[in-house]
Amino acid sequence: MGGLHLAAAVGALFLAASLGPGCNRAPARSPGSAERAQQGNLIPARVRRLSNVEYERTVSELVGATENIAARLPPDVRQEGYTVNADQAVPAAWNERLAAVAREVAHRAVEQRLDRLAPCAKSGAPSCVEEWIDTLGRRAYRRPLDPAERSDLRAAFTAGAADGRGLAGGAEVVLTIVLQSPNLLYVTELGQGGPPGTVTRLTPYEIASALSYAVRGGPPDDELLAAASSGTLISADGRETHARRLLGLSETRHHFRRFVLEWLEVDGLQLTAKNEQLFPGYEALEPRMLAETSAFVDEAMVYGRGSIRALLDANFASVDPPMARFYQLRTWGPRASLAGSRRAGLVQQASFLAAHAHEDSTSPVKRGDFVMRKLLCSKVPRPAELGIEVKIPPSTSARTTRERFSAHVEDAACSSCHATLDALGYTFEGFDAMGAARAKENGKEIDTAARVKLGGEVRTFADSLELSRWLAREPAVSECFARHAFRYFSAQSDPRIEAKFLELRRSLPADSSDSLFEDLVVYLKSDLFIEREVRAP
Amino acid sequence: MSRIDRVTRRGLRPACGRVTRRSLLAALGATGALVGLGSDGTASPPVARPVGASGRPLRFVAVYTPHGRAHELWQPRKGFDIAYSDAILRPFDDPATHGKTFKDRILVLDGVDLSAGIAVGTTGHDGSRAILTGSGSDGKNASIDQYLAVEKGLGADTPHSTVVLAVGNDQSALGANVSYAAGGTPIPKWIDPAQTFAELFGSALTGAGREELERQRRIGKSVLDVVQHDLARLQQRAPSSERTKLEQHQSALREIEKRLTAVERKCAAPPPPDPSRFSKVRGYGGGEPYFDTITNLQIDLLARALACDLTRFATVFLADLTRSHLFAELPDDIHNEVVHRYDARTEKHSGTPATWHSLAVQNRYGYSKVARLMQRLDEAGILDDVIVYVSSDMGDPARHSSRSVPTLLAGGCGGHFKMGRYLDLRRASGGTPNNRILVSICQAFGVTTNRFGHSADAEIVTGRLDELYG
Repeated sequence: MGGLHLAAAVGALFLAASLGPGCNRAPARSPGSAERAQQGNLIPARVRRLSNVEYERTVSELVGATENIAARLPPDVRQEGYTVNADQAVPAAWNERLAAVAREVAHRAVEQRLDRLAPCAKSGAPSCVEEWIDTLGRRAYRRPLDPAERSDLRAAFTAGAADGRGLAGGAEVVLTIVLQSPNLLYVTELGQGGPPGTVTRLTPYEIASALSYAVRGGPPDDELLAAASSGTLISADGRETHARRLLGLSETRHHFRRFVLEWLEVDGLQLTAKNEQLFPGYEALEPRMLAETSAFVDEAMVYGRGSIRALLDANFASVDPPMARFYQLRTWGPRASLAGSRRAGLVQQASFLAAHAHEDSTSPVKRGDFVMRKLLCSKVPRPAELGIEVKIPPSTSARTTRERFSAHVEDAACSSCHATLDALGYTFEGFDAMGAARAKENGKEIDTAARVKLGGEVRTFADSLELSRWLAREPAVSECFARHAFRYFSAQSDPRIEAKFLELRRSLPADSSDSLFEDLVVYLKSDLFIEREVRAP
Repeated sequence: MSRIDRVTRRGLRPACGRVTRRSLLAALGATGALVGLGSDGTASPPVARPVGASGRPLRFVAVYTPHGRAHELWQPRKGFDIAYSDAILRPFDDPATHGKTFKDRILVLDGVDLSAGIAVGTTGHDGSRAILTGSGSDGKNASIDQYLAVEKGLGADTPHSTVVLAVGNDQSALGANVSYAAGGTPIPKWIDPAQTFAELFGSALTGAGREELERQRRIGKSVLDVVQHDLARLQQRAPSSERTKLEQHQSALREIEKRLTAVERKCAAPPPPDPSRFSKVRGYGGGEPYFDTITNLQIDLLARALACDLTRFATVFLADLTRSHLFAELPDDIHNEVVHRYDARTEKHSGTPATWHSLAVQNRYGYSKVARLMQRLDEAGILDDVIVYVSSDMGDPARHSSRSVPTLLAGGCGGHFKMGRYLDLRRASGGTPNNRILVSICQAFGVTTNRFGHSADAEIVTGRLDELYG
C-alpha cells in the first residue's frame, strides 16, 4: 500500500481530518500498489509515444503547413486524464490510421511544397538527395541519422523515384516513411541503457527532445538541437536558458492551454450533448464556450505566469458577443469585465459548468467531485468501490436539484462522502446544466450557500464565487495544481516521483511559489529530469 | 468531458492464459506455426485453428444492445416459452418474420453482472467497457475479439483480423465502445454502410484499378520495410520494461503487411449500399429515421463478410435508440419517459407493468436485429459455426445498474455450448461475472485458460461458466 498512501499523504494532508470515515476509507483493495512499492524513485528509462496533438504539431512543423490530423487518429490512451503519458502505444487500429495520414500528408507536401521542403531540388545538385535526407532525418528524429537509417532512406528514395515520378516520387516515399517511423513517433528516454536497476542519463539530444516536448508540446527547434550538439544542455543552467527562451515564445501557450483544458476536463466538450427541448441554444454556443476557455487561459497564463490564483480568480472573461450576451455582460473582448456578475475565473465558465452536469440537469456531485479531485487532490472513491448501488433520484418538477440530492445526506452510507461533495457542488447551483445563471429552479428559489468542513475548519460559502476565491488563495490548491501539471509535463504519474518533484518545488522562493512556469523550470533543471532508471518489466 | 477514460500505470496483465500441449501440437502439425502476441507481452505459443463441430472455422460476433431490459418480459416462461405476448425474446421464435425459429440456437443467461466494471465504478452508461474486456476503466487488456484475433493471431488468415461496426455513434468516449486494443485504445467503428462496403468489398475484391493497386502495394511494401527496420533497431536499444509496447507496435505493422499481400478472393460481393437511403449516419438526438436502414445494411454486410471469410471476428455496437423516434407507440424522449421510468418488480414491490411494456418495445427491436443476423448467417450456411454474444451495459436501466445485464449466446456456437435453454445464474451472493462467459469463449477458440479480464479480485476474472456445457 506504500505508494498509494504516500500519494494520499502528500496531497490530501490538508483534507485528511475533514472527511467522514467512509470517504477516508480506501477501497477494500488497492490494485497495483504492490508493483509500485518495488519501483524506484526515478522516472524509468522509456520510449514515450507522442500524443495525437503532439504528433500533429510535430508533423506540421516538419512539413511546414498546418495539418489537422490529431482528430483523425483513434483517441489517446489517458493516464490520470492526461493525453501526454508513457502508456501511449501503437495498436493496429491506431497504426492503420497513422499510415493513411502519413501517405496523405506526404503526398500533399510533395505536390504543393517540394521546392520549400527540399530547396536544393531546383538546382539539381548531385548531392541534393543525400543532403535532403540528412536534414529531414535530423529534424524528424530530433538527432542525426545513424548510418543504417541513412542507407535505408536512400534506398527507399531510389525505389520511389524509379516508380515513374522521379524526385517527387522518391521524396514522397521518404516522407511517408519518416512520418510513421518509430524514430519520430517515440520520444526516447533511454540514455546509454544498462541492465535493470542501473541509473542512466539522457543523451544531449534526448534532453533537447524531452525539454522541448515538456515546455511547448512540440519538437526541438534548431537552437535547441544546436545546444544538444554542443553539449550545453548537460548543465542545469543550459537547460534553464532554453526553457525560459521557449517559455517566452507566444506559441508555447497552446501547450499550457491544452494542459488546463485536460485538467478542467472540458477538452471533450464537443462530445457532450444537452437535452434539446430544455437547452435549445446549447449546440450553437458549445464551440464558443470552449473558445472562451481557451482564450481565457491564454490571457490568464500570460499575466499570471501560470498561477492557479489567476486562473480561479480573474475578474474578466474572454468572450465574443454571443457569449457576452449569454453571461449578460455589457462588454465583450479578450478582457471583458465581470464586475457585478457572480462569475470569476475558470470554474464559473460555461464550458466547465456544462461539462460537469447531466444532459438535462445540473450535477452537484460532478462539480463537487471536480473540486475535490482536481483542486484539493483528495481521492474520492466511486460508490461501487464501496459496494453502494446508486439509485438516481427521478427528476420531478416539484423539487430543486438540491432537494433531490439531499437524500445523500439522509442515507448514512452516502453521507460520509457526499456531505462534503454535494455541499461543494451546491455552491454552483446558481448555474444550470449549460452554465446559464439562474435564481430559481422549478419556480423555487435556489440556495447556493454551503457549510463545508475543509482543512479541519467549518467554512461557509455564499456561492461558488466565494468558494473559488477561497480556493485561489489556498497554498494546498496551488500544490495540487502543480502535481497535476507535473503529471502532464513529465508524462507519468508515479506518486513517488511526484513526491520528489514536490520536494524540489518547496525549494522555490515564495514569490515563485504559485507559477506553473517556475514549477516546470525547477523540474527541468533538476537531476530528476535527466536521470532514468532501467527497469525490468 | 467528464467521462475520461482514466488509466492507471499498472502493467498489462495476462488476459487469457496458456495453450494446451494438444492444441499446440495440432497447430504445428496441421496448420503451421502461428505466433501471436500475448497480453503479457511475450510471444505466445501458437493456437490451433479453432473449429466447430462441423470442422469449419469458428467465428465470433458480439452485439451490444443499449441500456438494459424489462426483466419481467425478458425472462422466458415455463417450457422455455419466448413467444408469449410482449416477450422481449420473441424475435428468436418468429418464423413469420425470420423464416424459421432460432429458439434452439439461443442460450438465455439470466443474472450476469459486469462485475469487474462494478468493482471500480465503471458502470451504468460506462458499463459497455466491461462487456468484452471483463475489466473496468482501470484494465488495459484487449477486448476478447481483439485478443483472439490480434493477440492470439486467430484473425491472421483473413484480410481483416477484426471488423468493428456501429450504428449512429462513432465516438470514442467511455461508454461508446466494446472493442479495445491491448493498452486501452478503443477501436474506431465504421458507422457508414458505404464505408463498411468499401473496406470489406472494395477494390481488392472487385479487381477495379488493378494496376494502380499493384503500384500502391509496391510502394507500401518499401515504406513498411524501412519502418520495420527502424522498429527492430529501437527494440534492441529499449529496456525489457518497454518490450510489450514495442511488440504491440510490431504486430500492428504485421497487420498492415497482411493487407499489402492479401490474396484476392472469389466471393460474390453484395450490391453497394445506396447512400441516398441514409443521408445522415450520426445520431443527433432529434430523430434518426435512417437508423433502421443503416442497421439492416450493417448486419447484412457483416453476414456476407463472415460468409466470404473476409473476417472471423466482429463486434456491432447498436444505436442508442432513446431519441430515434423509431417507435410510433413510444414517446419521443424514450430516455426520460421510458427508460428512466422503468419500475421493476422486486421481492417487496410489485412494480409498474405499464413501464415494462414500454421498455420491452425498444428491447425487442434490438433483438430483432440479432435475429436478422442469425437469419442471414443461416442462409449462408454458417450459423452453426458462429458464437454470437449479445449483451448490454445495464440491467435495470432506471438504476443505471450493471448487474443482471441481459445476456444471450446465439448461433450454433460450433457445438461448444448446449443451446436452446434458459440458465438462471443469479446467486444468493449476487450475479455471475461476465468474465466466466469470456473464459468459456476463449476455451471454445482453443485458448486453454482459466482467466479473462482485469480485476483486483481474482475470483471475478477466474473460471469458466460450467453451466454452458449442459
